[in-house]
Amino acid sequence: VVALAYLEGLSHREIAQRLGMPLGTVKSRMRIAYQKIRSVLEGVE
Amino acid sequence: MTITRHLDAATLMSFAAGSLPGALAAVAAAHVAMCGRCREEVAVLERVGAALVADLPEAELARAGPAMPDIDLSPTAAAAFASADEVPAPLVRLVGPSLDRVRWRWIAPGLWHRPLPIDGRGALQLLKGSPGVRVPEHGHGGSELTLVLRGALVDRSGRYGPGDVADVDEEIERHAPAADPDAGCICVVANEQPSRFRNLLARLLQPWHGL
Repeated sequence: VVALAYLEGLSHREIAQRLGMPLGTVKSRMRIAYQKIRSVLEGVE
Repeated sequence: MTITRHLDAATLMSFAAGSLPGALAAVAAAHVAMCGRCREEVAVLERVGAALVADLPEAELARAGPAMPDIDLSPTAAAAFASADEVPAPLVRLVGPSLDRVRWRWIAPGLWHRPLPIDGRGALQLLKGSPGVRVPEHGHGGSELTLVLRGALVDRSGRYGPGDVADVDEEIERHAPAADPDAGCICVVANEQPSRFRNLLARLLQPWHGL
């Protein structure tokens, strides 16, 4: 999901269509990825 | 100004990736220019993008990486907000330097709007509500970002003051936001898809009011 946003420039809706999943699932996966990134960075800093 | 309502993490991530549809990116950029916390988050998320791109082979790199929206997010632009009346720097080109000079178009009793030209998908407009005036109840066909510039907006999720952003989508329940009963409200609204009004008249007038 994150790679499709960054590398292919797809919007939430386009990612949902590409992966055949609900829009809400795309957004919740991005939120989870965001939380993981934050926790990794906080561990580094 | 104390900002308490921020962009959703998924919206921030797509904004940093440059993959937010044009109208939504304009409102996101305006909020980020006003909000130090979200500016820091975008900086972190841009590093994530850089790390992803760094892992790509060169051939992949050539076709990867959407350009960031053509919106100035430099510290100078962000600082300019302080002196640019209530119009955040990324919107000055579209709105002009002052909300008092906007040429409003009447759309309903106590409601005015000003469509703003934007590249890319979605519709962008300024919306002005007299004190206490409510937008007819509606759902959403896609994402909707509403950034308050003056006064306040009130709906069932609470109160939104200047700089606050309401980040909703089609999975959020219908709502009927109202302008603050004392101060009224001026906000900038980006819709990925037209809203879904319950009221027939509001639906019939959609080509006119553009919401």
